[in-house]
Amino acid sequence: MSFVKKLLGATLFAATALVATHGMAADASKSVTIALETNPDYLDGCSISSSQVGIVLRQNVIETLTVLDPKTGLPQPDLATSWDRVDDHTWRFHLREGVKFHDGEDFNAQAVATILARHFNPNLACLDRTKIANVKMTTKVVDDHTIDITTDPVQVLLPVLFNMVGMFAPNTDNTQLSRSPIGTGPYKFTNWDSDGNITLDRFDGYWGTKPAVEEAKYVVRPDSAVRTAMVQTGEADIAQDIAAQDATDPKMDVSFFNTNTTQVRIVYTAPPLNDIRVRKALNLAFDRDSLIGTILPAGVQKATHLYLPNINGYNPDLKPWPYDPDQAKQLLAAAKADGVPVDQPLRLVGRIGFYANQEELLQAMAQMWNAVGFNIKVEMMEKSQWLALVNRPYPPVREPMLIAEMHDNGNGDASFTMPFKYHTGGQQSDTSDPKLDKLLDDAAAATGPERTKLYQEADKMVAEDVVPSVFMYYMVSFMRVGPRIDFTPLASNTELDLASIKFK
Amino acid sequence: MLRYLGKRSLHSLVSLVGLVVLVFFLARLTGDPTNLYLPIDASPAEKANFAQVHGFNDPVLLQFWHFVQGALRLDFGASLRYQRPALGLVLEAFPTTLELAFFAMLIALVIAIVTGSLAAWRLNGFFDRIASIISLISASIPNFWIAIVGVLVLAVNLRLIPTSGTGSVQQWILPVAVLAIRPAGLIVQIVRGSMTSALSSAYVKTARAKGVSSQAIIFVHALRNAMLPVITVAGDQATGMVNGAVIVETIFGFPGIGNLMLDAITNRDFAVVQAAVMVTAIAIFILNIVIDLCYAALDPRIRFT
Repeated sequence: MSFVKKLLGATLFAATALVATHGMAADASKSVTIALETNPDYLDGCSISSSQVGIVLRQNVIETLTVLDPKTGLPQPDLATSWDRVDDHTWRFHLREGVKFHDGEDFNAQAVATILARHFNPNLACLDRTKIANVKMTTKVVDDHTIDITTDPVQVLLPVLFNMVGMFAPNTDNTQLSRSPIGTGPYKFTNWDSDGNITLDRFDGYWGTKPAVEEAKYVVRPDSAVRTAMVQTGEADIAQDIAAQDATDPKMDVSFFNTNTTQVRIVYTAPPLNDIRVRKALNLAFDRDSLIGTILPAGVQKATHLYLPNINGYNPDLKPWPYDPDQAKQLLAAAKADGVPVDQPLRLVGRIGFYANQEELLQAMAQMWNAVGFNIKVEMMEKSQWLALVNRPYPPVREPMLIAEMHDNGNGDASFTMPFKYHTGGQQSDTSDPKLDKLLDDAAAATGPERTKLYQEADKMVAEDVVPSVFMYYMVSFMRVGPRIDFTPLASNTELDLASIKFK
Repeated sequence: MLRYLGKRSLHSLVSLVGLVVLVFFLARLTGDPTNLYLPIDASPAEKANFAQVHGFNDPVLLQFWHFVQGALRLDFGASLRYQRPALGLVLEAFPTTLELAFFAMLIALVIAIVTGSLAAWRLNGFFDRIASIISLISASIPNFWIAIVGVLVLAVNLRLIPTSGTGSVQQWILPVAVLAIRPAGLIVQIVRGSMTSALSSAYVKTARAKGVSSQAIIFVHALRNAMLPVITVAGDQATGMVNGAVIVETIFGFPGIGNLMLDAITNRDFAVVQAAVMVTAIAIFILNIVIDLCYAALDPRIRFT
């Protein structure tokens, strides 16, 4: 058997040689590697509000006119240094001087006008446009660094809106979404190879403070365990969005609110859900505490609104629904006595792959509800089918049902949630209450403390008088950060700020 | 031979056309993908415009006619997700899967042939029993479990190889090994059985009597005659790998066709699904031809008609 022995020997030698050359030398470079869960579809500066694109581009390659203060949600200068209201419909933005795009072109008022026009190009599926979709916008270049933007209808929050609108090079191809973005940020796009790896290099002509990281490489690893392992072995410095069960190292793993809030929307077009006692019973029969630290990670918090406490309009007086199954049963009994078919079969619709452990969570909720007298069954759907249920136009006959949702509002103001979700005709609203509509309309037109007060009143009405949903949790994300860098993630799932990374 | 190839090609072409037509209509039964590609709060006008631009508003037969016209020019349309030609995306991803499959099959075959042959030589001996147990376990363990355990043990704990990626030779060790384990386990059993039969033949007894070395008996005389069923099973396993080693690609971050196709199906990226099906079907057709040629090379009695 000498041939076999030779073969075995050769194999062993080759294997030893291969693994021996896999060194784990300490990395002294100023390059960071970030392991992402998914590959972006494209890298266009007109879609930085998408988490896939924003994680790479936002404030790294593509900047915005304003940024939001993470604590107050108020707009702060970025590419615009100041702004003022010329009249009800017109805002004047004063642009930062001395800023260049990565291709050497000047950032100026004409560039902003061109950029905004591209955002509204109907042939490009620019995601950021939807933040300003219902706004007719015209621009007037006053001088090189001053631009007037007139809107119809009035936009009291235009400076806030512009924190979501990317400023990319005006000569970006207008016929298709870009895969090689050019911006003004501290990093310029270098390469996106056929393996899906993206490279950004520090831009030496940046107008602001030079960041410590010289190069950022984004690699795609869909499996959370592998992303986590990469940081552990030093192959990556950051593992983005890891599963809770993989976040086992307290020294490296960070949990943070990611601006998402979960809820179950109640489609109360018909009995039994059109009876407010039934909707209140749903809230009372749901034991929110029992799922924290079990099915869901320990860091999530019970929600009282569909947005986080740092959003303007948040009402601190509202408390989470208590868990009171006895009261839930009493309400259902009262409704049943009045002829409401409380045990009519109902669907609780979830979306496959929406977030970790969603199906288990919904099954637990259905069990809690069925224990008090409901007849609810979980039905998981893929994204396209779920979207058809969630968005207008709804089918002519809309059955009563429950839909699991997750809403993201990291934009500083309740106006990015309330009309959309609760106004009559809102894109994802099943509610039609004239009193609530008036409150929301008044709030949208108001400014300052009056605006805050009106939204708080609207929140109270939603929570106590309308009850169109079962608020669930403010969700958290997990990230693993390697030991050679200092980095605290923002409370955002659309931005990973490279400039804030420091080396230890 | 040429006549055989011509006939085979014609049969395969008919199957290919049928497959592509089936995939075209089945994919469209899943519904309009507009909602997947526009923002959640896109207006009805934007949705209508998107459907118009991509032809989703047209009657399905008209869409099919446009597709056929394009397919004849090898233009399967643009990916809705990546906004690039679908065929280009597929041809970029396919070599990665082919390489993975090639190396995995090569290693699986070498291991299986050596192990199965040695097991058959000493039937019911210690090596045979151990080989049978290991091959059964290999054939039964799920890929994803081996992959994750491999990463944790070999990469994280022992730091012998990288966790994932494609850039270096070391990064290919674990994915290829994971992909090779199952077919190796299956083929060992086939080789063992086939070799057992071959080794009990009269010509082997003659060779032994003439003093031919055991190495020559196994690997020169008996193995060739035992290879026909092995080629069949190996071909079947290779076809499965060419279809997309999607679990291995997902875990180790290999941008192969398995990942691309799964993504395209989930996102209703019709052009990519159609291009991927076409390319994969052609590859399998070529693989089947290669297997047939291997049969003829191994057994001169086989004639192509």
